[in-house]
Amino acid sequence: MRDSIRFFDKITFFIILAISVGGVFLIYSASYSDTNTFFYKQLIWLIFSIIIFFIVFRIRTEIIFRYGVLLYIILIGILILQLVSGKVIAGTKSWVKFGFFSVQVSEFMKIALAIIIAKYISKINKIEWKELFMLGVIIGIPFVLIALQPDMGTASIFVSLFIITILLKGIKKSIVIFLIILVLLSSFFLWNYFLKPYQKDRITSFLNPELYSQSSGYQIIQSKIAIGAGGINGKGFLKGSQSKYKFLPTRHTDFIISLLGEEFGFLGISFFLILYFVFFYRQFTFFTENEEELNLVYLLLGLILFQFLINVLMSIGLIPILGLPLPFVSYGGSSLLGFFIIEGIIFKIRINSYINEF
Amino acid sequence: MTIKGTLKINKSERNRTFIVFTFFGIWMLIIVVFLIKLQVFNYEKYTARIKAQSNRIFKLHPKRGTIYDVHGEILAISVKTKSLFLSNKNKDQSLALFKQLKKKISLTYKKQRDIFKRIKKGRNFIWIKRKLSEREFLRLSKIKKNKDYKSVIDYIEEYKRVYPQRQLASHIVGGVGIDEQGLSGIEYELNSDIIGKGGKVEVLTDAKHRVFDLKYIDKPIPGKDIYLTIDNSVQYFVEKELSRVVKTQNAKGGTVIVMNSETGTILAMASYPFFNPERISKTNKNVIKNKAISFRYDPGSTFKVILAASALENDICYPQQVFNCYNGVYKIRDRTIYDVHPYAKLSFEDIIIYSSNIGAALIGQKIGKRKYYNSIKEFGFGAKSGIKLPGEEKGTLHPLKKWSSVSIAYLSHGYEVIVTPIQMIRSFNVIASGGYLIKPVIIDRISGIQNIDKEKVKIMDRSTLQRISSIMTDVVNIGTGKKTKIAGIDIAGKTGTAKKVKGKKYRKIYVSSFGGFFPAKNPKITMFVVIDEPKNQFYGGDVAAPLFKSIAEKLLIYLRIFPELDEKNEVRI
Repeated sequence: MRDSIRFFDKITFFIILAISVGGVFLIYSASYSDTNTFFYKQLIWLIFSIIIFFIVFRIRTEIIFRYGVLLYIILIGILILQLVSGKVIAGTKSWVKFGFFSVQVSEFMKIALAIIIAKYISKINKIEWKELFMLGVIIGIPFVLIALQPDMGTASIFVSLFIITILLKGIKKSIVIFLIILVLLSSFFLWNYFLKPYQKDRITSFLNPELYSQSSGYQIIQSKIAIGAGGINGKGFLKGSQSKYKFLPTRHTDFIISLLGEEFGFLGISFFLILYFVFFYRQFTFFTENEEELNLVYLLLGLILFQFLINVLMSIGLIPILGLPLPFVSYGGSSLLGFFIIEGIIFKIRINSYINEF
Repeated sequence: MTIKGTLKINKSERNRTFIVFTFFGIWMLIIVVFLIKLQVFNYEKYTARIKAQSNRIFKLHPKRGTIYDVHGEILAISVKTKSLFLSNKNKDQSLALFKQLKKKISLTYKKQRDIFKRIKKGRNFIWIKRKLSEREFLRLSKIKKNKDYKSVIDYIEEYKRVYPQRQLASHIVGGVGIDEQGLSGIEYELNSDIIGKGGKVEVLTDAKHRVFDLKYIDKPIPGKDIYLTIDNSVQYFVEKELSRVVKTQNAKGGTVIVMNSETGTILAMASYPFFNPERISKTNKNVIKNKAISFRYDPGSTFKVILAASALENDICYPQQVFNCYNGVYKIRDRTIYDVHPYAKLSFEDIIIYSSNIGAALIGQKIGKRKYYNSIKEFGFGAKSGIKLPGEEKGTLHPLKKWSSVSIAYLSHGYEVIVTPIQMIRSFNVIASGGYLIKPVIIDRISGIQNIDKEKVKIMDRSTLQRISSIMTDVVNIGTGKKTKIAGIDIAGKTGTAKKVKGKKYRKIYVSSFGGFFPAKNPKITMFVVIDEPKNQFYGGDVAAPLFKSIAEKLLIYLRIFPELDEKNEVRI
């Protein structure tokens, strides 16, 4: 216990806390002109998430790995149930109601996936056809279920797990060629038979948003305007007119970085980026001999890293809009809780790397 | 518990972190470069975009100045009204809504079709009706309360010009268009004073077009108030009498001008038919024209006053001088001039009193072209009077070199010259005012500042005036203007009956007129009456003179001008 305090990564913890609290303030600003329910809810979720973080931190990693498959199966079950009988909230079926609050199951699916992939790949040498098939099934089932909700954003983040796996294990060259052909073919079919019109609009309008400034290009244009008008120093807290006067869409969730850009300018965003950079640096560069644990750290961090990049790049208009929240910052209890659980696991593994518990 | 060791990183481990951070670093770099582009280099562009999408600049219409009569009675005033517009978001909803709206407000069929077209075309902002009446506004309140329509229809406050006296002094006051721009009369002439200065307001709206702030760039400055010299009461009975006479004579139209003899200020100026300034856009342009200053006609015998003044002022004739009047038929070159009643001989003053055309021609010939021409010019003919009203005509006075050998004979009894009623009253007023040619005044004061735009030129000698004045008094007492006579008050006047030209020929259609002033010895009021194409009677003495009288009677009472009680004239009341 004393050692778990001694080797607890206090710097990273405070960075996470700083980012999260900063997020709470940004949510306050985002909903300032309406009601502040978002702010209070997020504050409660943050406190709750920190408590869960410490609970997860106390759980031994073997237990996490032991129950990973079970968790995965339970979550798949819930996802199927949802699809069959779920209510549509905000256009998707991704929410499960627990009494007075709703939870997005897909946020926890990410973690379950990371756990079982970490366990599975610790037993293989390289991704070959057999392993590719296995991974395809493991990732594919929840991917399809979540994509059907429809929540393409969260589903697409599963792809990052596969990319990290390749990074960790290496891949046969013929498989790479096969995958490229598969992606090209599937994107053709996706475009023609599967994507909903609004999803297509997002992609086409991304290429030339000004043409769609009143419809599908509206969000991206308003986001760029917000960031651009923030200038170097920003307009100041609560003074962003794009957010205050509701030009900026989903300003408390997907586009919260644009709000940050408008109110705190280039300096404000840069400060946040530096915090994230230090955060990733500190967590990617610790070493553990336990391969299962190492894989898990990389997979979990990969999830955060990809989600972070996708959110920022989409907000500044470099990639099409994929409705993904900014880790630790955007409004959303499930998302916040999910990331704190992830960090609880990573912090535990870090302690393990210093301490021989046996 | 033992410590496993410090951070030992093997080769493959290092390789992996290197890949991750190269990947991460490249994206971070791209992000930063892009942020610099957005926030540093394009800062101004995006700031301007914010302004463009949330700040709109609206013009504010100032309140137009009020127009009053000389005593402060309101003739024209701007009041706040609501104008209804539709924000066309959903064509089907808009069409359904408009079908309800048109039942509540009066709209012409053409306007309705127009609005339907605009809705179908998908225009965003559509005026349904501007400047609703109080009743229409109340009838709409139910529809406006409907939640579905709350953001679809709304009002904009606008000023509406109201003329509480309706047709009264309509030709002087004039009217305005839908955007409050002056179209005629004083509204047009003094538009720049009345209109005030428009303001500008910056309206800040949010993404849902809701207004959250207003910033005044320029506050509107209300227009100046205008006080006319018109007296509402005088104007009222002048209009009443004029319309009565025009109707009984079945005439085409008519004009009356009443002037203060001493100052040249206009007390009343009416032209029949009148119009309602609130309906000016639907009124025929000929009706809107102020005929008191724009009606061009041959003056006929009333012009003999100018002739007499010229003869006496130039010492060419004396009142008792006798002329041979050729028993009513006088040949001059290839033309013939006739008198209505043939006379063998008439004195100078009788020529005016009984209005002999032949006598007038003889007097004219005696004066000579040049001197007579100069007199006519001095009396203000062939030039605008300069009254502050739009649309004044200057008439026609041919230059001397265009006069033929018979011109002087015709100009003597009021032909070959074209005049306007305002020119005639102005010339008659020279005699009434003691020899001054005065610029007629219609504006008393603008926003409390007295009108000092006054012009007065002495053109006649007092002794001449007295002689003409007494001749003109005899016109009323014993001559052609007998129907003007009022017991106890000496009125000086002159009748006129002129043929009108139609198709380049003089026809048996007439302009009957009577001009004069009273009391003759101490003139207070100068008045001129013109009736255009009377059909039941046509002599000025029969048509215009009685109208002059009926107005004069009322003026005497209203202005408290009492009969001069001398021994000769016994007054019976």
